[in-house]
Amino acid sequence: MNKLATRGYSWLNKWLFSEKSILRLDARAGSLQCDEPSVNLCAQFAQIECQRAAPPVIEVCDIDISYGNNIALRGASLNVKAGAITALVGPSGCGKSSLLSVINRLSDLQPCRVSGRVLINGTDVLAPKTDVMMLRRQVGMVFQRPNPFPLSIVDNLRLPLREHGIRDGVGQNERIEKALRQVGLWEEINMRLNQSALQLSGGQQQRLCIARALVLEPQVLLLDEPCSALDPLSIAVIEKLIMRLRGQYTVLMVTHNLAQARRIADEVAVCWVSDGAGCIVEVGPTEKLFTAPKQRITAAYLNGHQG
Amino acid sequence: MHSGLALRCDSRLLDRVAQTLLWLLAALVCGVFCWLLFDIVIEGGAGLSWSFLSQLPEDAGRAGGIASILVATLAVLVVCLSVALPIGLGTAIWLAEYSDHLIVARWVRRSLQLLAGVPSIVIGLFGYAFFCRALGLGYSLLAGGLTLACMVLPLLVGALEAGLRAVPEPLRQGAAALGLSQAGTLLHLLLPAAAPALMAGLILSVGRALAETAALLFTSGYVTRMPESLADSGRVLSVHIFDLTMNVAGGDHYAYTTALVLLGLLCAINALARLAVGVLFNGNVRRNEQVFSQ
Repeated sequence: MNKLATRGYSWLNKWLFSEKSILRLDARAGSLQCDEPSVNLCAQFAQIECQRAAPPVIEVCDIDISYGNNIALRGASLNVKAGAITALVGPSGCGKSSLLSVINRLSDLQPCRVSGRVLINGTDVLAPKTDVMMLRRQVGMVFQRPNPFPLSIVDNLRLPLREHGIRDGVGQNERIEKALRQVGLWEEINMRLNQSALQLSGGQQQRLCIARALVLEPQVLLLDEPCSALDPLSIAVIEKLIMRLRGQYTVLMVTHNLAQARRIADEVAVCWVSDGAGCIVEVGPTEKLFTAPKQRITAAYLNGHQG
Repeated sequence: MHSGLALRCDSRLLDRVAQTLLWLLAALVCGVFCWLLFDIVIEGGAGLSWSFLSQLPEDAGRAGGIASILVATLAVLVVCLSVALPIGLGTAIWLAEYSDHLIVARWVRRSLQLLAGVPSIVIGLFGYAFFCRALGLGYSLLAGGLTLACMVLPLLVGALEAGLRAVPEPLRQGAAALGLSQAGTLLHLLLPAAAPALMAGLILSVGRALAETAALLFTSGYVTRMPESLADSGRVLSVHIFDLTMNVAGGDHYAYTTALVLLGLLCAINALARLAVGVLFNGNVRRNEQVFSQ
């Protein structure tokens, strides 16, 4: 009996140790080595390191997307600058959202055919051997309508962490707090983290969804019209939040709101429908595109004459 | 102008008539249920006592109680659910989540629909031929439970698959965009969201299983003694009611009392299922209290 107890204890010890070793692995990912006792400190350092991890460049090369016989996007090419905010604008049905969903391979879930290449820091994400889960961990996405999970606020953030193997409580809590602070929700809701996320207001829900993407510490953020379902005050908050992300993340954002694109984007890509298929007409720095566009369509669209 | 006003009055009258009619129909449905309940309680309530539940039937059910009948019923139900629930759950998950674009799925769904439409006497015949004879289980609670499992399987699968499919698409998208595994999404998001449907299917199945008479007459048998194992034959409540009413002169009172017990059992199992699903799936929010409260 005694023997059994000691064996159980040593097994427990081993398990605890392996938990810590996972932690250390996390820290090493941030190119840091640290000792066992200062687990807390260690996680903090790892976070700082992660923040510094440079956001990547995204190169979209000659992407075709088709649903059955319908071509949604033809020959789209786009270079998304590292750490910048790039806005995709254009009328409905020109393949903006489809393009976005190719970048994190969410297009896999839809009955569409995709050809071409999407390179994130030189790695082709459309290659069949790409680890899609890992890709989606690095490329966060926020949708048009807030879609918090029907769980508590904290579980909305904890579930993705747990699913990606971050299981220790302290590390989880730190990441959760950090993500909520990043979106400015911490002060508002830290007293009611265990409430259902569905009780939050629309704007808060959307910020929670952004936090849910940020909690995995991605390098790229895809925003699919993140403000279109929100009231003006919430839109202002979210815009400010997106601008704060500049430099830390490569942000690609679809929007219908040209004024918004002009306010917050560094670069703008204009999509259009020609010959029954979506395409990218012109890409350039925001002000340049708004004031001195090269294409006639761009000028007409951005000045509100067409589209 | 004038005719327009008249028309409006006419349509208002029509509205009122239609509304009254609908109310009457609703009252009719309610009335039928109340009458049924009232009848059973009036006729059978007097016989209901602890000794009725705890004694063995005597004199072909004219005296004594229904202890052995209750035990047999519960045993058949447990066999039925413990077989049908895992198979049904697995099938529904496969149909709803993994079988897209597969032709096999269409066949599985079609055969389930057919199975749902098969009269219970035919399923009983199959159960008798397959479980009792071919597998050599004889008249036994096990054979009865398995036969019932075949019968409730389409109900369970149908309800649960519909529940899974009704989970809003944005939830799946959100989970996929976070790189959650399919299993994790299923376990933490989809199944909890489909839990009410699971419960509805379960309650429907239990109701159907408890009410079943024809299929059990020739699979689990109708002896009234206390079953000692699943290999024994036994008489379930519905068969007991049938037998008391049709074959036993003077057994009507106890038939009513047994029916009352059957209704009570159904309500109790519904409540239990509700509770179980609530504890299993809706505990998520409560479980995390006080993690952050230091």
